[in-house]
Amino acid sequence: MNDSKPTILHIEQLQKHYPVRGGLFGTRQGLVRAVNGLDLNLRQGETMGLVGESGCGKSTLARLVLGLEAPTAGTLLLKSKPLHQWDQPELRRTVQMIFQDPYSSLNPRWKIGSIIREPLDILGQGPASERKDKAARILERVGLRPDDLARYPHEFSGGQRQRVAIARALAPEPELVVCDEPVSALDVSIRAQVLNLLHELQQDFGLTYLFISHDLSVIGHLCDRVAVMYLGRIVELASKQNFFIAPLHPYARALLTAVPVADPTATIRPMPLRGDLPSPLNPPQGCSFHPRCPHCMEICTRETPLLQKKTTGHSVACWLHQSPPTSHSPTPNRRNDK
Amino acid sequence: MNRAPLQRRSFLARNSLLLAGLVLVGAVSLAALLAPWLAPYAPEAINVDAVLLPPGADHWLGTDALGRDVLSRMLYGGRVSLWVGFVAVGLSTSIGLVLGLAAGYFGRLTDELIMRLVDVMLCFPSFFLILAVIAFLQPSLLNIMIVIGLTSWMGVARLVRAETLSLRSRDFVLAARVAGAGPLRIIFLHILPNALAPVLVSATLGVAGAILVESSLSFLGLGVQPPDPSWGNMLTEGKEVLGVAPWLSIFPGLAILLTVLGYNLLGEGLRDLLDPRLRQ
Repeated sequence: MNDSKPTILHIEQLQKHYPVRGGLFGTRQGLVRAVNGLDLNLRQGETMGLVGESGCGKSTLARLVLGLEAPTAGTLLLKSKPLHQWDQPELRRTVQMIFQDPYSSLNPRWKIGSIIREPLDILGQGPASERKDKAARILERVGLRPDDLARYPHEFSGGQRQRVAIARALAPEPELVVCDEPVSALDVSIRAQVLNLLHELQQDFGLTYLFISHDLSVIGHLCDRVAVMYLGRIVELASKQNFFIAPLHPYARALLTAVPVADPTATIRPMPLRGDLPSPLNPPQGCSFHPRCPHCMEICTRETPLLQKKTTGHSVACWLHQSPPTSHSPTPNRRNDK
Repeated sequence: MNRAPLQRRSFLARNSLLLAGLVLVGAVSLAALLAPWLAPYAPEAINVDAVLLPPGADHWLGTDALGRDVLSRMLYGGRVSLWVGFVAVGLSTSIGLVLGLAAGYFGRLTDELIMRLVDVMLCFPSFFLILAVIAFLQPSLLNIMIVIGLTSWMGVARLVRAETLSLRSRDFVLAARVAGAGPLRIIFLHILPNALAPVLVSATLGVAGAILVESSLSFLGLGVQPPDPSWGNMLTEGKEVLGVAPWLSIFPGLAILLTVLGYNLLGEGLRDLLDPRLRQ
């Protein structure tokens, strides 16, 4: 909530489109707008929760932030410097990632020690013996024993594997860590341990997390701010308190009321959504949520609402909460068609 | 009640194919390797006093039309067969691995070019291609090994490409990219070690195939040239006197049969061993 903290990641009108090829001659049949005009700001040391259903572009955003793919358009500044201007080793030292499935993210033929040392070996940080010591230290820090370095991934449980994956991500001492659903593949009983570990490590190393999840209880446990993503855009950006107490966007409200409450007398009724996520190949005109929105108005089918600040630390992209443009050449559409 | 001891038996004991293959291949390899010490006579030693002798105490497997000891010649011939098998398969597996990894990892145009080359190579009936090339070049051991290797890599390439395609999308490859690994590091340190198991099976089966091809070539006179012994040219010499001295054909034929059978059994056994669905 501290606005004075410096911005580590600044994203403005980011787009990533994938051409769909098909037919006899591999001609372009369409365009998947995986990320379509996304704005987001991460401040140093905070945890930004990113929620949204499958296919809304969360993982594409992760790949863009990691520099694994180049955006189609828009601005992506890491520490005020455009991401494509960073040189590879420096970028790898600064941004790291924790993957969802610890069974797939660790090479089964490699020992734990080599797995954790890999980023250090590639980036050439210090002499070999030092890298070895560092791997042992960090493995201990995530709660495993130093002699586990000589063991293989299959000798560990899911939770332990995820600790190894966390150790690998933190070995190069990054500043920003993208966590792609790091606990959703784990047993419920060990989720809390891993989340607490992530929180402790954040305190110790001063990390900034971009935390992708569709589990709102996890978001509530760990995050400072929440960004709700829908079809390649952020539709609501709020502090955790604001998001959980007074969500503004109808989609955010639907997400929140869909969480079962462990209280039989609770009166919150789920707000059912009609239909499925529309295809990013052919997103609806206007607000991309309007075909499913219970409050759909005429303007929603025509104009795309932009993310606008409603109160301090609470922004929303919805016509319910902002005055519609007066003229017929509003800025939203122009920026959208770019 | 009977299950417990059954499960305690090692995989080798439960997998009789693998065991039989190991025994056959081991015996043949050992015999060929130790030929200079095992052979009772020199393989080229002509003895006009002992022509076409049937198997007996002095010559366990008999002698040929020049009085040479069949057992000694077979032991030395085995070296040729195994050597050709290993070198040819080593060559074809290396080519297949590199092309398959490149096609699977880089995809797009690289993949298209390599896989079309595979299709073209598979269009030729490979044995006739080998025959034509050997007839054109000198029929030497080196040429045979190279030509067999150059015409039998396509299966490995397809196999490795398929493995690479499925491994490429695994998270640990993405994790390596996030760690800063380049394509060569990812291909050789991350993908290759995970793709080796099926290649090992195919290489073992490939040795059997290469031995058969070399025997066929030698039988047709385009392989190992006399007086150097090989199982194939021993068969050729034997067929002239098949009626009077059948042992000249039977024993080299049996050697080919058992060696090829051994490698096939070993390959099938390895396939079972490496298949996680069959592992208990």
